[in-house]
Amino acid sequence: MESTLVQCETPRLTWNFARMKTLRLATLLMLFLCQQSSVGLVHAGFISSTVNQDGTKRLDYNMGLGSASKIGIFDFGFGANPSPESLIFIKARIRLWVQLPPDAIGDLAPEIVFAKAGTTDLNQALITGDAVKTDIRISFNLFPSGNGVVEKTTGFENLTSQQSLALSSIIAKDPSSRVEAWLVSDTLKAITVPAFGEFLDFSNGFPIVTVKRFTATLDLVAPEPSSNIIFAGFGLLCVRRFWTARKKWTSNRYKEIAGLCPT
Amino acid sequence: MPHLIRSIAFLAIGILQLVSSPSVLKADIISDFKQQSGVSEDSGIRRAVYLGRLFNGVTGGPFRRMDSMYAIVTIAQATNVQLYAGDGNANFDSAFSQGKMFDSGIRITNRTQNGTEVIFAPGDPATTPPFKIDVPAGVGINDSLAANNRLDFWLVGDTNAGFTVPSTVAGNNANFFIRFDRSTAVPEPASVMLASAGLGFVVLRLRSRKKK
Repeated sequence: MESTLVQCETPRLTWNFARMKTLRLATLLMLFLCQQSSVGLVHAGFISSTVNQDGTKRLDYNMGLGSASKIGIFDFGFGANPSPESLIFIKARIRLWVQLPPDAIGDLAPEIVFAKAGTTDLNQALITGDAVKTDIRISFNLFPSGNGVVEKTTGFENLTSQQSLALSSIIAKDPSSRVEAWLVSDTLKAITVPAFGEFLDFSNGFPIVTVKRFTATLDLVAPEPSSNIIFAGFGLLCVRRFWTARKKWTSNRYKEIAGLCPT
Repeated sequence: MPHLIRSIAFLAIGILQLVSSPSVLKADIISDFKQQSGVSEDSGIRRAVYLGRLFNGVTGGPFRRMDSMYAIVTIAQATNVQLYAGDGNANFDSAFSQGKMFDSGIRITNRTQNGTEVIFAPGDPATTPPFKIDVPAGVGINDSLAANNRLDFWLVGDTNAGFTVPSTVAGNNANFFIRFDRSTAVPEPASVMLASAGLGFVVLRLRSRKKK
């Protein structure tokens, strides 16, 4: 009778057993977090770079029919020799100050092009692979709209594998692992991505010129191996725990039915 | 002799009054400013951006013309963009073909091509004399003002030109400013008063001599 009581575990005892494991799980979690913090920034899944806008505009883009405005050269701090796996990107988002014409909507909305730092001829760079067009468009309709220099932020747009590879190649080729972003339109020329903006202030009764410097931010999203490992690991642990508890519970139920344990 | 002293004193007071009276001195200078519209049109012949309407309710005055001017505009990536004034807040080409728009002669070019700048034309008013407007354009602009009691301003460039004219810059109004110095073919109020005072002085001197 005594030995039977020792062998039986009620569901409550199983739960206590699980709580005893909490310490071990917490230790495991700490280990994962330590690993997460020690890996490179890219492995965190989201990298960001903010730079002063360049303001250069080329009117010879697309055989002189469109325009290309240089947003800036972004540096994500990869250093001179980034590891290949740190240059895989799946999404991108950009924030910039821009003035667009009202017809820059839909297919006419200008696109973001990533190019090798120091590109002067974007037409040539797109042919040689030193630049890649993305599906990120800056539309006049994108809030806030209006006939002025306004700050627009896109949502995270997917990069195709081809675009991602080209972007990785551009960054890898640069000695400082930087990338240039341009705003291009095949047909529109009245697009301005200014480095600075001046405005006349008459509030004091006489004109005062005020200057504002503009910045742009490029965010890139990389796959998250660390997070995947953490969640997969925890998922497996949970499944294992559930399976063990279920097995024990089933075993106890059989024993109860067989009359080996007191109800 | 007392008459002469009185006449001279009268003349001196009159001149002093004229010089110190801003309403008289400003009679031939008009200025105004407003937020830029930034609405653009491209007809395939030229690209015109509407700046806005100024001088609402201002009268043209008789026998006057715009003699010279200053303009301050907020603009980006402009090279030799023309400033037009006249009657018409939409469809520049139509207004131009009907002879309602006049080229002021002012040309706007940005100092640098990488920013949205406030451009003073022909230069800083503190150091630069005003831009001299051609007589036909000066007459036309003043006649338009006289006919409508307002003036519309446009910036005009080649078709598909890349210049941009904002209405706001980072949430702040992008304003433009125009000042006209007007000349007149008939005596101005100040000249009339001076001439009258001088004439009165001569008459008084003659009378005083007759009395002697």
